[in-house]
Amino acid sequence: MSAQTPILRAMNLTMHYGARAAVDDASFDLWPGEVLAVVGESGSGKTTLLNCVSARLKPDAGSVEFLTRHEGVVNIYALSEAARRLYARTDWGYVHQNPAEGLRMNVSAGANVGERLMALGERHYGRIRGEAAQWLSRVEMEAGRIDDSPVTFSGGMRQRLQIARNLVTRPRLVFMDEPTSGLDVSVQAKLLDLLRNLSHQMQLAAIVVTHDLAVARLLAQRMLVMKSGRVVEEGLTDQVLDDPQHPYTQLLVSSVLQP
Amino acid sequence: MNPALRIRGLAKTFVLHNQGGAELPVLYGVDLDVHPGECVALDGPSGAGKSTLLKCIYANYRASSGAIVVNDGARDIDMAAASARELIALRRDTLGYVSQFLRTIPRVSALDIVAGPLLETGGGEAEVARDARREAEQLLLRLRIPIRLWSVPPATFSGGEQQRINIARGLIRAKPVLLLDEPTAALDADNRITVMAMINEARAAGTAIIGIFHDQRVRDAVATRVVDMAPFQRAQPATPTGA
Repeated sequence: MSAQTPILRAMNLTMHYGARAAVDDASFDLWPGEVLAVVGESGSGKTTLLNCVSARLKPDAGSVEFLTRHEGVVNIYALSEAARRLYARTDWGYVHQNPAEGLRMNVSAGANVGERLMALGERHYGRIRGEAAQWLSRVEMEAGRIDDSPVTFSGGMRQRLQIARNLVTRPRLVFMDEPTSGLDVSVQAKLLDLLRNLSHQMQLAAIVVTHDLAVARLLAQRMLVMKSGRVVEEGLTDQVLDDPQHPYTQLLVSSVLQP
Repeated sequence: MNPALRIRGLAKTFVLHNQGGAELPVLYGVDLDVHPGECVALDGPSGAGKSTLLKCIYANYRASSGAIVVNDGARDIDMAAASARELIALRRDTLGYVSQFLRTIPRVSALDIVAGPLLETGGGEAEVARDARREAEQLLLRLRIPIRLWSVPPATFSGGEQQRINIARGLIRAKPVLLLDEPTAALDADNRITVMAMINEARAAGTAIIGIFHDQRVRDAVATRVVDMAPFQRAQPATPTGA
């Protein structure tokens, strides 16, 4: 929190699909250790914005700056593909809504977690397995499941495994697209608690796309509200939810039961 | 001595865009100073804007106009103009707030909810966490929360128990300014006396306190000054408009 430079800075991002702007002139800063929620209805451009800032989708206009550990601020779309991939494997995490998209379903749980370590050059089998076991326990999975394939896991277990796979390299920035929305309510609570604790312990900066305002309230200090590709309101999470200013935010907040 | 909190020309009007842009003026022309070691009680009937004023000070509600200047020990910062990032730091270090109702978090124990403001200050170090929990235990003991409840998430607690959890959380870390919204409303006599003592201790230690205390006995015991909310209201039309 003491750093004076944002870890991520999105400036005037615009992305068109055909003639329609999915993201229209969106800008925001994300500070080290901060969790930012992006909310809005389906089709408001939340996921497109997330993809643009996570180097998965080059925007038509605008820039994304990332504060690296050692090399200062870089413009992620000015990097070589190789450099971008290295950051994506080490300093960033990406948690998909559907865990099957973020996991390799045909290899074991332990290998799913160990793979990102191997990508960093770790070759010692014992250390990789030890680290994988430790991460499975941090996401509250039984040690005995380390050799099982995620195909045999429930949705909640798969999502926790995906989180372990992302966090094993100790990233500083994690992108999450609706991380809890595929899960039933009791499993959601466990996952949210886990994400809250881990983001705090690891001082993670995170961007969480969600349509669930209660998830935003629980996880995020700050919030952006999107409508038709534009950021229509931003502020502290409780401020936006308890005293919404924009007509769309007022409608959104008044449409749900006690977020 | 400089005030810890200085409010000038604060106004708050809610605009309901989905009700035809209806405007609900709640506060107008609020000027108020609170010094370290003072406890100001806000006085007025329901709907006079007492809670709204506390929420504006905490930046939970956005001021429509005016300044809410807090001194964080080193400098003056206007809550009404500060960035979200500054507000997060001010809430962590400078401004405490005990709301009327506890917002529980699934799976988080009463002890950890109380220890939360201290846990936030460390990056998850074991030593910080142990000390934070020890202090939380002292507060829970003092507020007569049975030990068997400490490890339980407070969602199922009684109203009075939840209120005591909320107070313990609000007081565990001394901050220059403390906002109290009806901190004793749901408490029995013994706990009310304990909470009054805790408020007075915080004030004696130099905290600037501003609160809502409906109970006359509590107000008499803790307040050093009473501020009437009536001057902070713009004259309302006698009949609803557009009816």
